[in-house]
Amino acid sequence: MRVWETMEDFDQFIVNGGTVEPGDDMPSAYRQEVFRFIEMHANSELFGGLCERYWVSRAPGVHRKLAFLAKTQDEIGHAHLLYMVAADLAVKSRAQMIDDLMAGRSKFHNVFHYKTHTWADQIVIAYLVDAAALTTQQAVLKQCSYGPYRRILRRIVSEEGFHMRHGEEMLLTLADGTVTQQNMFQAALDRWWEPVMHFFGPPTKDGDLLIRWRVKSDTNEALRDRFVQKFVPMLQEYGFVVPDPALHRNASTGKWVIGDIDWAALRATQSNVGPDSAARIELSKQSWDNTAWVREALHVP
Amino acid sequence: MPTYEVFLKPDGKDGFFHAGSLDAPDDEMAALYCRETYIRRGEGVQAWLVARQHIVTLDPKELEVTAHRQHASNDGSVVAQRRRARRQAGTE
Amino acid sequence: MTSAIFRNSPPPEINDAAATILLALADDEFMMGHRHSEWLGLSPFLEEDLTTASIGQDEFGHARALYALIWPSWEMRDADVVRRPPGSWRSCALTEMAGVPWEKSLIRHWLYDLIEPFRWTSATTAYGASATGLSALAERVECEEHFHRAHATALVQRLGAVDTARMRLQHALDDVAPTAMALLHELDSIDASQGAAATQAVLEAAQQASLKITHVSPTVIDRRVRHADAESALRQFVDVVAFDPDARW
Repeated sequence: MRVWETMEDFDQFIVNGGTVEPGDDMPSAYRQEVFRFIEMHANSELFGGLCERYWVSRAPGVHRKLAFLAKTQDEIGHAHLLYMVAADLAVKSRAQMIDDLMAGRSKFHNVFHYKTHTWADQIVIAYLVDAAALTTQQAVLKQCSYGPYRRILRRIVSEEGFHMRHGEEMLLTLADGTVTQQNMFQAALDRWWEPVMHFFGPPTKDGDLLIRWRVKSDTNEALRDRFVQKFVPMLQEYGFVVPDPALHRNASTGKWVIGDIDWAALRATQSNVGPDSAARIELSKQSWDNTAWVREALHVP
Repeated sequence: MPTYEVFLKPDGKDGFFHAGSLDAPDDEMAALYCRETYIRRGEGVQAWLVARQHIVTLDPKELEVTAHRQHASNDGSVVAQRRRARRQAGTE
Repeated sequence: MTSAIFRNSPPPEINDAAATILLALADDEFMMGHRHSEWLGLSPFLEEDLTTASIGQDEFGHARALYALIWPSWEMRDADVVRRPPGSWRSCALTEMAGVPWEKSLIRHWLYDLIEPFRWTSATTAYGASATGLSALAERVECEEHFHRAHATALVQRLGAVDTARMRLQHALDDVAPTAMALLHELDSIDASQGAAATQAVLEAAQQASLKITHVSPTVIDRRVRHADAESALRQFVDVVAFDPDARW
């Protein structure tokens, strides 16, 4: 167990590229920040899986069904890995984390507070949301100071890579498909572009603890911009219109510039009052409550 | 319910590595759950599971001191110096 | 459900006995895959969730391999499997009925997978020589089914050892048993020795878990008729396809 006498010592350790392990006597503020970050990631993977669950039975064909089922299983698997790592920080047990999530006391990513109206919405999630998640996770994986998180992220990121390619394959099927299919995707893109922009979060404030302690290595704006530069031209090339009237290309830098973002909808999801928050939590909670006897009988915490 | 640590051996020359952990009611259930939590795509050709409470842990301080036993390793600098000296003596 | 959804290349009619039995097995596997996948994210705990999802994938995989044996030259087989009209499915009530609450799904998983290997043995013994690839498939399937049985048995036995949990399992078993008995009866009428062996396996497993199977006079399965719960499942299967029946998805 490593001990740091002062916060300055700990900060220096982080600056020098040190890796913190669960047995270390880390500052409690660091423990809380890392825990909160991993817990939210875990919650989001679980509710992302629940969101996709709806489309497994509706997937068109056996092949799509299998690929979707495997993807959804991965998301649940990520939630499992993350809850295990979060529990080892000894802030909350696995059961407490799930209880808090079901009671609406915990946060999960904004995109999983929305309803998926059509198959194309699900493809937006499988492609753009997974790509957005991958963008943020790669930035954490690069130099995250908390060892266990960084190690499991390697696995998570490699699986998200499969999902994104699968998502792009399905997107191309619609892009190269009938007019109905193309319109279906455009309508979904119109619904989802703003939530995807929100996904990266509001501009990072100075003194952000996650950046200071090298859990995150990039600001929210930098990550959002990286995503925009890559996916705006890609969506356009596939024949779709990015629903942002102010979107333009800076003549001198050649970079894409997006319009101002209205943060109202993000704030609603952060308080668990997004369009589909209640329904998603309720579905999960009902099943969790109805199967409590199984956990009790098997002594699962 | 015990927490189990999962170790996998990938196919090929590498040995076992620590993959992560899982919760299970007992050894048999842990073995069943290990496959789907950590080996969904052939990530391991062998797997070890051990209940966390059975792991014997050593004090890192006792390990640290062994990193300073200079006499137990040899960086070859003395040998290099001797060889140089011999070469110089031979050319004189 | 409009008929348009089904109009693209309907599956060829099946006339021979071998294909009829394999299609029954394939559609049962498909329905089991579907029912397992309904527990995604909703299982009692995450380790269980992941295992159920894998078992579901295995069952869909077995169904797909069987469809390929049954309709080797049927174009667009993949998407059209889910586009068959209700009357051309050959699954049975045990696999078609909804699996809520969770213990009902567990008991169904347990009974279905206990009976399954005997159906494969029966099919390969009768048709292995004529249906190319069936024996090899059965061998691969058994590797996965072994795991399915171990999983269901481990859970049923552990829960069966706890009084309150056993009562729930017993209640679910009373509910599910008639449809499982019907499946056993069907197997018995096709292959008396495998039918007897499967019945024995089920009774022994029930005894080991301290559960009782009340004797009921078995009903005869008519696989042309769908269980009431199948309707919503079949509607979900074509939900996306119906958006544009002519498109590739």
